[in-house]
Amino acid sequence: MQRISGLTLAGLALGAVLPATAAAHGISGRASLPVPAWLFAWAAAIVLVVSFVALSALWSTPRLQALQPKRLGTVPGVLTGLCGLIGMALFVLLIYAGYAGVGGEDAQTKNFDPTFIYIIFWVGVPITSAVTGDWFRAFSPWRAVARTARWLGRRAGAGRPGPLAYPEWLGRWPVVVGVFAFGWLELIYHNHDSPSLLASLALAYFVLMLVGMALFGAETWSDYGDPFGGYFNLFSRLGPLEARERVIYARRPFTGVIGMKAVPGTVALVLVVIGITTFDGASNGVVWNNLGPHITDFFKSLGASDDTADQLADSLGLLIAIGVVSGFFWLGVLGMRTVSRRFGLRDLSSQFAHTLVPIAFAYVLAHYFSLLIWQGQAIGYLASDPLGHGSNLIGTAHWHINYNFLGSTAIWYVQVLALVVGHVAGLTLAHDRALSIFRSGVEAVRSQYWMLAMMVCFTSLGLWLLSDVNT
Amino acid sequence: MPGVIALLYLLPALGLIVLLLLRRYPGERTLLRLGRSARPERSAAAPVPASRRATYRLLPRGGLLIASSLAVRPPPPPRLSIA
Repeated sequence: MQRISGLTLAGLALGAVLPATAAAHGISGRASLPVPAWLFAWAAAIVLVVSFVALSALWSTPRLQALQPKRLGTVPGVLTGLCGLIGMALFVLLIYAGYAGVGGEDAQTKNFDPTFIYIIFWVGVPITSAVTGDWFRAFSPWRAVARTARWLGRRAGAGRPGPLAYPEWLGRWPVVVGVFAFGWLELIYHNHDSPSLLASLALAYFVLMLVGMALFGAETWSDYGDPFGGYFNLFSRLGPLEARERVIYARRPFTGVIGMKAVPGTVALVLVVIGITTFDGASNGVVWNNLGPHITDFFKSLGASDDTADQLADSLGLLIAIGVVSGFFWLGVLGMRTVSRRFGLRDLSSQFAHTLVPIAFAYVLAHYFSLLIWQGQAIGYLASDPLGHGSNLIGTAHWHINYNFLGSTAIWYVQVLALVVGHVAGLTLAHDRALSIFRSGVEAVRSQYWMLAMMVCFTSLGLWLLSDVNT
Repeated sequence: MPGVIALLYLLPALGLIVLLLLRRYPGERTLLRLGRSARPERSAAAPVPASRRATYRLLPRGGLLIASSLAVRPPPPPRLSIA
């Protein structure tokens, strides 16, 4: 404890020595903090070390690997049909607003589509799924169509040929590719707010999903081939509720990821999610704002236009962010390999892939929390005037965004809390898995030193990204 | 000085990584000792019930856990009845 106290004091002393750098940019200027923001990273590291010590000392046998969820009840079939109808209606509204609504520079603030897709759908659905379970599965419009087609086929007595076997090697790779492509669209493509483009892409996605479900079966494709479904399902495994075949189950929070099959692409999916969030944070920060223009100039010197060069530079930045995040993970895996040679790198990465899910969620929650809380309110007036033509369909067109709803300091603390809780959860899952696969206590404890290092890296990176944002 | 600030953030992680690369695991013996003392000891006076022992044996561990996790179709659960 003396060492920990010494560390904190040393940090405080450094903060006093470097007041200019501490207050020059980042969260210090945006939120009123009692200490420099980087000290939060040190404090988070201390929390992780204390958690690691507590787990090693008090948690000596695996407790989570064979937990069974508890059945709560069944959802009526009518309700699932209604959810599908609502999902389909929203999809139709999205397409209609995309083609008939306001476009151009006003689209971002006046058209329903950009806010709905980039904030409610891309941010709101995964965050709420982590609390309430995989509710998107019930509302998915493409799945609703597939279910209806199956129901009609059964009523007509039509014998349907069995679906193709889903290739084992494909695993979650379609989800990885889809999530990466959407991340690229959102963060890098310059015309990403165009409602007509979003509507066209949504239609293409819809058709692609129907083809996939027709070939491989609705459930299998929803699990492994539907990028959004697969992404939302990933976070839904952190929540205390689970729905399977209309039956609702209760389980301990964070334990749903333990049963996740480590099929090909699982590790890549989580790393890409963290990498996209990392680049989103870094691209608004000081480091990338200094470095990015040089890379853009390099592409310009190769003959690329301004737009193309900028997008190429950002694409490279996105790949670098995914590379850095992957480096942290493989550092942990390679370190564990030095502890025990009984497992290959692939085995170890599969065994510990699920420990990254709470970290990915923590990154998404911390990074997008303010966006969801503030900009998400816009859906209130956009729902009443989805085309941006001045209508007031449900009487909420006069609503405004209330930026006083939550202060920036409160948001900072929520972000720090999310990062710390997410990483402690990841550490706990890794500890329990280590106890179940390593032969000796020495191997299990040593392997977790490496996981601790990995978690501290992720926490520090996450907090640095949050504070590095220009204000 | 964004580089210095970034370094300040990463300092705890870098310190830990350097220690581990040197094959130093600070506090390892203490943690192992604490872990051993926390492990529940089974005494002759309080034997583990037979049903609980059976459940414990069915838990996938080690290689079987890896196989179950990696397999597209996991191995069938052990039969409780004698064929």
